Amino acid sequence: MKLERTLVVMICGVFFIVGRSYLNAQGCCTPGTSSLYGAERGIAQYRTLNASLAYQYNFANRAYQGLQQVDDLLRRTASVQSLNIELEYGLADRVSLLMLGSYVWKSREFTTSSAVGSGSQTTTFNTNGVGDVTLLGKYAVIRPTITSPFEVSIGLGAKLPTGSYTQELDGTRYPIDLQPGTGGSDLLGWVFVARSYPAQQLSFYGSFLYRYAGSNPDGYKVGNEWIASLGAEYSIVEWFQLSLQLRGRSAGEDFASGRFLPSTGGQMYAVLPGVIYREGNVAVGMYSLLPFYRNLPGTQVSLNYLVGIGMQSFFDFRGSPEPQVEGKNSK
Amino acid sequence: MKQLVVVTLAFVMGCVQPQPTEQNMAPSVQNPVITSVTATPSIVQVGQNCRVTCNAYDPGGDSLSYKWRVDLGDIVGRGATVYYSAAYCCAGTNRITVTVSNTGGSATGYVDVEVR
Repeated sequence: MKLERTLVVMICGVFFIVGRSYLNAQGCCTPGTSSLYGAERGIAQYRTLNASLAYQYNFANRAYQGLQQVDDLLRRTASVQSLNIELEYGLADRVSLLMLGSYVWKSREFTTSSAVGSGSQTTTFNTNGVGDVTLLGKYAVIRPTITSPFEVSIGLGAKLPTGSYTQELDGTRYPIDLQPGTGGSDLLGWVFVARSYPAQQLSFYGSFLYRYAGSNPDGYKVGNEWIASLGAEYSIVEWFQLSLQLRGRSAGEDFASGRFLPSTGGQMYAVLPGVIYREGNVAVGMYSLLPFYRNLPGTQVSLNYLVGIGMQSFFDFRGSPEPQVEGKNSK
Repeated sequence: MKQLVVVTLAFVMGCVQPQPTEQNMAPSVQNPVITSVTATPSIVQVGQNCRVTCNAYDPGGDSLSYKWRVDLGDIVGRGATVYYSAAYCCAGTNRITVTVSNTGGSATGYVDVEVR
């Protein structure tokens, strides 16, 4: 058994390393990185804490016009790395609070030619900093039980502008897509449904997140978006699971300088295969996001693919139940 | 002889550099003056860059610093001349603003560039 586990960990490591070498990110004018890591779980139980640390790397260098891949005149290459920290605590029997914070590294390279001369210029911008913080309050409408492993949860939240949107280089502010934060506050609405089949070691879930984006103080507003996902997890053995998710994302156009920006927003659908290894109260997961359909207005650089690795730990503060003393308070 | 003395005195006095006064050693208290902000060309295609120059001076002879700003697009470079380009997202007229500062204050100018 121990040999099997070692083998699984090694396979996971290879999967991650190979995945990283092909990685690909968000392009111009799609600031921020959507992450649904904690929003794809049900609520945390009362007085328990789920803490997780995840690293994501994504890369983009393919331009699309509608459904078609086209040449990018700017020859852009963009990458976003993020270290995400998540804490979710069960505040009450049916209520938990999820907090997501991040530190991000962004990079974009592009090439332009002189409008009056013949030379070309390749520039690389690099930024990093604390990202925006997301808070999501969850409420279990239907709680899963042993006899009925079905859950429906809803939630409301906000993304707060804790990340800088004013970073500069030599006195010139970086473009908004390279800033660690958007500078705006967003409102979030969330629905989660899950059904497990313990006998078959199988579970299914679906989640839907809607984000109403607020403007930043400069008047830049990221397009509103929804992200929907359908996923399944299958336990091969008690300590090892396979996961597969289908995710769709649709975003509206960004708004800035008094106008909607023509080459922003759009739809993207992707598949996310992953593996999860469990040992006691700790789970380590690895996943990749592979887009298979895009419909983007105008011409945009879109995500090639993304890989991530995360570790989640579970802490139980409930303690052992106090022994009931018969007749203690009886008269 | 009298003419020789006058010429000699004039020569000697001309060689003497005036001592700096407190007034011209002190930092400028006057704001910089921007004479023009230009973009060459002022219309660019996606994938092209244009050169943006701010012509400014300091009335007191101080050095100037430049801060460039645009809501949409990329500015590359620093100082009085920078380069501007934009992707498809930012097609339209974009205003590039420059703030020129000295120790006494600042002045702001702008130029509009159309991205097609």
